[in-house]
Amino acid sequence: MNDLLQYAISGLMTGGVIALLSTGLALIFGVMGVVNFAHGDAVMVAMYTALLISTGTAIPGIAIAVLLLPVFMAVGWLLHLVLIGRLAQSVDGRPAERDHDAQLLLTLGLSLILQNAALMIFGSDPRGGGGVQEPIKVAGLVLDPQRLLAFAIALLVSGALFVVLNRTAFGRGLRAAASDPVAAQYCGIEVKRAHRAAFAIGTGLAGVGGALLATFYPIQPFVSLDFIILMFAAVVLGGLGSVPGACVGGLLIGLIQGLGQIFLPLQLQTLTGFLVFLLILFVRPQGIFGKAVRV
Amino acid sequence: MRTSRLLAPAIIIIVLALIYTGGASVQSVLTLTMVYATIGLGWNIIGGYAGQTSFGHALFVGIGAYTVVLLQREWDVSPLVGVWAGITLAVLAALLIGWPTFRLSGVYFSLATLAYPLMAMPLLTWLGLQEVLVPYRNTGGGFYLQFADPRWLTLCALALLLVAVGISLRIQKSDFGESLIAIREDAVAAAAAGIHVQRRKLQAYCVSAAMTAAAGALYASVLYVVTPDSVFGLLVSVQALIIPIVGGRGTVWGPIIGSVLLITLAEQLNAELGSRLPGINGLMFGAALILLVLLAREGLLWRAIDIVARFRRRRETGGRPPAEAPSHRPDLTELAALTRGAANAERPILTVENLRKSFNGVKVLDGVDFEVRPGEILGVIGPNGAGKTTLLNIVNGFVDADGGHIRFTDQDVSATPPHERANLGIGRTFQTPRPLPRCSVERNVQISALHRPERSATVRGALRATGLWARAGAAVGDLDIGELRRLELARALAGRPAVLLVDEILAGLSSDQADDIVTLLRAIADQGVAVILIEHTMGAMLRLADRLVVLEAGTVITSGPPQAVVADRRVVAAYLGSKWSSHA
Repeated sequence: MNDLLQYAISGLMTGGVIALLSTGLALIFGVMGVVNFAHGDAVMVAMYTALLISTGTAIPGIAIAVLLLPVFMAVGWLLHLVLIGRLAQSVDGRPAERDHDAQLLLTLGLSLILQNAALMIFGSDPRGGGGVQEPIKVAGLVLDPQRLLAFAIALLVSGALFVVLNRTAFGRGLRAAASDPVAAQYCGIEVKRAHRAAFAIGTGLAGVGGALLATFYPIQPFVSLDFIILMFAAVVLGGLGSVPGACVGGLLIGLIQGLGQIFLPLQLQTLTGFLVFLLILFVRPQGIFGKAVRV
Repeated sequence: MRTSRLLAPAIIIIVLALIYTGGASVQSVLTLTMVYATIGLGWNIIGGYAGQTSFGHALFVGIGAYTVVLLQREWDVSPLVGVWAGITLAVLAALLIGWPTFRLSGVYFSLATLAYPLMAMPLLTWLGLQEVLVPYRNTGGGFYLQFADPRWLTLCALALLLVAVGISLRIQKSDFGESLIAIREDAVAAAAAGIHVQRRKLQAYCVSAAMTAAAGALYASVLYVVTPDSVFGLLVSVQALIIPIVGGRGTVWGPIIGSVLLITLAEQLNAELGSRLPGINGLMFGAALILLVLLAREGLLWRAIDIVARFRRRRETGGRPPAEAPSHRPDLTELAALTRGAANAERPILTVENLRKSFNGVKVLDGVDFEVRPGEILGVIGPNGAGKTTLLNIVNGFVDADGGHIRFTDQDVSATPPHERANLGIGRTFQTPRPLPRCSVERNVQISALHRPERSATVRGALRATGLWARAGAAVGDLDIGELRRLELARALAGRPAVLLVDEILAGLSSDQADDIVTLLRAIADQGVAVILIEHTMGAMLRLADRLVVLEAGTVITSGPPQAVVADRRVVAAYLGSKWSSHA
């Protein structure tokens, strides 16, 4: 019983970071209607950056995460300015089916460039994985302080995002641009700028998530492949494009994966995320919260 | 087409000459190019013709490769036999991905296609299959696809490529291929024309998977060692899609051109820099994807076709715009063959009972009843937001009603999908015309008559009746709004309707353009077709309709002969507000 709780808790800890990453992905999809295939690779770049900073200096992991948020937001903003936003939008602000493909191809190309550039610069050997810290013991449960911290910050940042989306004029503008681009445009909301903001925030969250992951997860150029399915699963589970849904989805995926450790061998652990993804696809494509996006 | 008939044998001869004379490195580049061209042709069936971009064709390459290698290692099965097992498994996998995702929007398909091959990798690692050697079995006869002379393997790749080209050509010329193109260009119009969109997509995906798996099986013999990354890897998926897109998706030559360019480049880069800069290939393909999207979205071949066409037009017309289109006289002589007039004109052909529909709690239709008889023109009028278009969408099946029944002849079609209703004889036009953008007028009309023996006569009759015969070869982009509306009618007629739903076909037309259509609609009804007409223009409605049904706020407030209905106070009130009804 204690074992079960232990696995559940460590799964939930990782789930917090997955939730943070999926929230960024869902925000980009929700507002722009684009699945950002390069999201996991932004995380990878953040992990390497955090690792480089932490090995050279004595800056703690949380400080790096805080530092990377504005940096990665700027990177996302620039990426949208020079690349993603270059594609012509159709009248209603959303990419037409053909342009939709173009955006996917663009992010896929970006993903390949980032992965292989990292391979050239850092080589294929895994690095990092976090320093050994004394685990905290609470009521017979072992807690890894780094994971605990990552979990707390991830929830904090996701919470902050909800507040921004729901309580500020800027957030309402984003949501308006997401739900009806044409009407939003008529109300004086510049849809393209909303897209750029969503991409910037999403990438910023990937930056934070990467910095947090780097404190306990080993890094290699293709590390995004470990997470991408989990993020997809979380986003689909929460209802495609729903930001709070993706957050809950991420926590659930972490939990399921944590419990999966009990009976699944090490190499197959990402499979649980995939199985969830499959199950949702067949049984409830609208996810827990959202509506299914039908043809 | 004529050029390709001359080009193809020439290229085959050049390839044969290269195979005969080339050294080992030439053989390996040639083989890889042809294997990847085959993979690209496989991708092209679903991604090119049907327009569903798959991001994970490595799944099928991997299934083909692993199946033949494992069958040979475990049971000494020849790849020539094993490939069929690989194809079978790939088709099963395609069904597993396609069946749930094709019901939903394209995003789910994109996600699923990317996810599946990524998941195959940890699974294979766990099974201890990180590295499987093709067992050495040189029996001399090439039964195990192992040859002392590597030129034989290159020939095998050529043979497989030719089979793939043959299959692609067959599809391109078939009704199946036409329906895939219709789905790619406009899935809604395709469904309204009677095409079973889901099934066709699924079939295309299965053919695509089979072709790709066959190429994957041969790829294993080229690689000697099969690893999850080399056949299921992201880079394989990317090559499968970028090769046809660079060349030109939806064409047979596209994947071949793309493969020659990219695989040669990749092999060159690998040979020069691969040892110092691992990942150079991935970087190159990533950059190629981005450049492609930014610079030549449609691919090189389509670009070239456009440039040639523009050049030709300039030479023919001396830069002047083409002459005025020939005049269009509707020719109704063949109309009778197009319609399915019912034998008994007294019995209603379509009955709508107690139809109800709400969107997010707002009642759009609240118990609508009416019926229509063969040869009758029923006008549905009502102020904006009365539920007219929703009604049409429910009758043709695009929208499910919350309650009520639709009966066509003696059959309850309330739950019948739209394409089946179209095939039963419920045709429709769209208020905003939905032409297939890159197809000629004739091909646009033809999609309603696919898989019918009397197809060409039907299409000709529909084009003549609508006065578009002289424009049959024109691009739809050159049509004016009146012609586009008649194209909508022609497409509906080619489906040989017994009931025709017409959505605001006169809106925004000049009186000449409108007159043509009014005459045509009358003639169609005279053939025994029941026409249900939605229209704002009262004048045309009074001229055309035999009977009017007035909708307001989701209910039928009155119905009857046009003159009686417009005199009804409730109708005046609905249109102009109750203030005016006392003046009527």
